[in-house]
Amino acid sequence: MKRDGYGLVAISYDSLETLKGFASRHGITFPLLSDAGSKTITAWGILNTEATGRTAGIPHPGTFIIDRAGTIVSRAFEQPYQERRSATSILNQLSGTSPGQTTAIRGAHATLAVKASDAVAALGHRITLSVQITPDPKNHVYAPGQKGYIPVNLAVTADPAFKAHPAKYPAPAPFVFVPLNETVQVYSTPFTITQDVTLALTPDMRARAAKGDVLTIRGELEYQACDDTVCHRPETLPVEWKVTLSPLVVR
Amino acid sequence: MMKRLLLVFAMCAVVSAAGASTQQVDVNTLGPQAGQKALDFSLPGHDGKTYNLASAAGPKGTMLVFFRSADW
Repeated sequence: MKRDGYGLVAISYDSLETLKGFASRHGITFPLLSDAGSKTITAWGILNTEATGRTAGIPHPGTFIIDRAGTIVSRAFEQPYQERRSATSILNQLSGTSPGQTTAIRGAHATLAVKASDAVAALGHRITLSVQITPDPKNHVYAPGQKGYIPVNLAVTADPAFKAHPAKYPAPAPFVFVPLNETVQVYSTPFTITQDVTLALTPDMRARAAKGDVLTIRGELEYQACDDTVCHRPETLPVEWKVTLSPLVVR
Repeated sequence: MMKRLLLVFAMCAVVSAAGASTQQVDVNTLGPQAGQKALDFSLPGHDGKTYNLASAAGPKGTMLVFFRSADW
């Protein structure tokens, strides 16, 4: 957070004692501020007036990004039925570092651009990993399901740190391979395979997130490229994505 | 502890769903909007220091998160 240039503080109506306990249990390093009595929450106009009993005094949860001059640059509030937006996703929008860095990998007959949707992500959030594949000129690679050739395949190495969802492949185009007079399903222009993963909420991951650890997700991309006359040997390239685990575990 | 928290969340969700059916708060209209000045504050932090907008800020500014509670 600090690295992105914004000082992160979180406000709730809890007592200092409660916040101290919470911070030490969760290893929180940024300041949790106590607005016991909800004066600040009320002054900001975000008091949840429907909350009663022990919840009386809670705010509508939300995040403000404020520049050095004290002007609000951006804000995001939780919608009752909306999936919660990670505070980092707002921060990312601003800092311009939103997506993870793109890594270029040169294969024998194709170039890969490997990227994660978020440079920083909170536990429980779903992020998208992608590999853009640009076959060399005049080359094509085979789409999933194409028999007789090695189809392109992205495999993410299983890890308890995340749950992997099925990879998604774009629609291929038919290609007529003249020498054999056969029609095959291929990609001959740049295409992108995406793979969503949801970061696990395990104790181990909580401990790592509290330290702002970087999670490395590894995988392999296998493909076979052919040009108009010859098919090259299949190739397997290691790929990896790096995601900084956000310490923002507050609700 | 976690189970209890989740249970409480589930209960909160039910309660807010029930409340929402009668009146829906448009959270986007609450509080200061982008472009407006942020109200300053002075609040004690769990680390023993007192913070306001200026002291909480990093080189670019401040990310201010309002959350429900650390207690339930």
